[in-house]
Parts: sequence; C-alpha cells; structure tokens
Amino acid sequence: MAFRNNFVWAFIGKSGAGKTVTAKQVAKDWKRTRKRKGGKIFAFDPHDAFYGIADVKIDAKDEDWASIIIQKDKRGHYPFANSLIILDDYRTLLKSDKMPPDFLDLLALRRRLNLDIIYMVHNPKLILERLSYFSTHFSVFRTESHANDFADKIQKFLTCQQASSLVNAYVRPMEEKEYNSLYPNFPYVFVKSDSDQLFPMNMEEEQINQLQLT
Amino acid sequence: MELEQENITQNLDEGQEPVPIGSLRPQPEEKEKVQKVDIDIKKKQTDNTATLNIKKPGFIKDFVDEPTRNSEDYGRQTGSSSSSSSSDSSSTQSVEEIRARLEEEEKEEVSKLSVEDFEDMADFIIDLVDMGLLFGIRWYSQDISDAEYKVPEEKLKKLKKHLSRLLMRVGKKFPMGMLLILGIIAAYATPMRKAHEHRKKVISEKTRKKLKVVSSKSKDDSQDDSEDDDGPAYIPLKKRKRGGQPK
Repeated sequence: MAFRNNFVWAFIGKSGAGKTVTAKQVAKDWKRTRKRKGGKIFAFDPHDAFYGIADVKIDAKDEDWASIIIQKDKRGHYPFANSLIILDDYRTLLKSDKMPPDFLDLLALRRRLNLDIIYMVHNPKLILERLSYFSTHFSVFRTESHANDFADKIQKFLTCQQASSLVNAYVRPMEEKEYNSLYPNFPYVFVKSDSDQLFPMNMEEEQINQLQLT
Repeated sequence: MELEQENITQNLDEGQEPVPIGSLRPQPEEKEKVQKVDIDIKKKQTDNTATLNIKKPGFIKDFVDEPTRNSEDYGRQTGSSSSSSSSDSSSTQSVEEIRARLEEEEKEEVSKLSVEDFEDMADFIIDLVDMGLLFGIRWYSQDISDAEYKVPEEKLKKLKKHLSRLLMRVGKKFPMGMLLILGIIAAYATPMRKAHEHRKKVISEKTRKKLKVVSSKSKDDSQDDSEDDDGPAYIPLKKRKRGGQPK
C-alpha cells in the first residue's frame, strides 16, 4: 500500500485571507478518514476557530505542549501518536525567535509518531528558519508580503513567490465584500516542497489564463 | 599503480606463482584521492521553472485522505512480500482491527470474481448435487445393476445457468464461509467423481460375481440329484474358514 509522507504544511496569508477556514476543512477531512485509528487533533487556537473539531486545545501558557504530545506512557507507547497538530498563528505560541528544543524533537519524531502538522502565519518572514526546512507543503493565500520575504525563509522561494504573485493578482480586482463572499472557498495556491508546480485552488482557470496573458 | 596491476595480470596469465590477494588492495595514496565537494546545506532554489497545474476541487481532500504509515508500523516493511512483517503486525493488532481488515479483504475478494468464476462455481455445485442425488436415488431404489440414472444434459445446463445468475446476484453479500465451503467442494469434486465411478465398477463386478455364483449353485443343486460331484463342495467366500480345504 502506498503511503503519503506526513506533512508539515504552512498556510501563509494575511489576516482574513481564509487560512483558518481552509485549515478547518482540511482538519475535518483528516478527522473523517482517521476516525477509526484514534488520532487526535491538537490545536493552538487563540480564536477558538477549531472548536468542535479539535480534541485537545493548546494554550499560550502551555510551554511544554510539544513535550506532552511526544511523551511516552508507562508501557513505552506514544499515546498521542497518529495525530494532527494545528498551530494557528504559531508565532504567538513561541516566546522567542528560537525554536524550542521540544518543538524540534516533535518535528524530528513526526514520522515515527505519524504526526501531521499545520501551521499558519501572516507573513513568510514569521516562519522560523528551522521550521521552514521541515515544511513539506505551502498554501499561499493573498499576502502583503514582499517577494524577498519568501527568499529569506523558504527553500522553494521562487515557486512560493510566483504562487503569491498569482494569488495576489487574482484577488486584486476584488473588493473586500466580494472576497468575503467567496467563503468558504477562498483562493490560494498549493505548493509542494519537492515540486516546481503551482496548484491553484478555488481559482477559475479562465481568469488565471487572462492573468498570465496580461 | 597501473603498471603494478599490469604486472600482476601478466604474471597471472603466464601461470606463475599466484600473487597474494593483499597486493591487490588499493594503496593508501589512492584512498586519499577523494575530491572535496562543497555542499551548501542552505542552498535555495535558483531556477524559476514553476509551472501551473490546475487540479479538480477534490485534490486537497484526496491528498489529506491519503493514508499515512501508522506510528505502530514505523520501521516495518510494507507490502505482502514480507511474510514476517505481516505476522509481526498481526500479532500487535487487536482482534477488532484484524476483523475489520478481513472484512475489507473479503469484500475485495468477492468483488474481484468474474462471470466465469461464478459459472465455474455453478458448474461444480450442480455437478455435485447431481452426483449426490443420483447416488441417493440409486441407493433408495436398491438397484445394483448398471442401469443409468441420469438427468438430461439440457436440464442440467439450465440449472447451471440459473445458479450462476443467482450467485452473481448475491455475489457481494456472499459470506466468506460459503466461499470456503464451495472452495472445498470444488477442490474435492474431481476425486469424488472418480471415487464414485470406481465404486460403481466395484459394485457391478461384485454383482456380476454374485450372479455367477448363484447361477452355478443352482446348477449344482440340479446336478446333485442326477449324478455325484467329485469336486469340493462350494463354500461361499464369506463363510470359508481359514486353513484351506476342510478335511
């Protein structure tokens, strides 16, 4: 049987771009297919957006949240293996610009423990360098970031830059109300770290072609 | 070094004294001939070759739905090729998990059956039922003759057709136990048929012998009245004692 690798998936986009709404849909799909395996959803969720979906809530004061997830029980098993971790606006969870050691341990053990991770940021500048190396997928929403912001942070920065340019150009003619009316199908571009392909999601093909022509 | 190796091969060709294998070992100088390559682990994308790939709306859902390797299976080999790994995983799986897996496998197995499979199955079942019923009828009739008890071929064909259709209809709900029983029946059908044929032959041979004996006995009885018999009296096989002829 073919397995997909565990993802460390970055959702990049300005506030109100639809990151959380899209991540909620992903979390629902994830939960539905893994119901029988007993996987839990951990969410650092300051806006309570994952209420009803998340099984465990991570608070900003829980500094040892990563240690808790990767802890072993008395039998030597990992009780929280096969889980999904959602970190909405994850930089507010970290006290400094350095990656906490237990978060690094968690990232290192993600395949061993079958952990999928989603993290959301407003700007690529906010992605810590070490986390960017672990990132396997990016969903680029409309951003107000500068193209160089990607260059400093992401290995596939040219692809992500193009993704950002594409989605920004796509939504530029839209007014705020019009953009909000797209709920819950907000446009974004999906990028894989091992590919140079851009996967536009919730975007009309004709409009994309027009953008490329002009 | 190349010259040395040439000399070695020449020596070998000429059939002279063999060279110790240690002399073929590369010299330490050669070991050091490793090119130094600078690898920048922080190297980032340099060429802009991004292409658009427009997918259907369910693309992300399919991606998320794809199975991941369970934490318990980490480090184990995948696929059915390694029997040891499957036995290891089965030992750690709970009964419920194994049951669920078997149910899925059963469904797959039944859905994989083709029309021909169902027809073969119907053939076997009807042949067996035919054989069993004819055997029963013959036993009931106490008939030990060679008379044929047979159902017309056309009727059998019709029955097989009906049964194959019925099997196809219930195919998806076909229980695994039933499949196993049918499999056993199918496997044993040929030897059972052979055994039946042999039994028929043996019975007919016995009957023939019995009839022969009975007819000779009645002949003897009629002859006893008229003339004396010099030969030994006929004793049926079952009643004959051990130790040869009676004194």
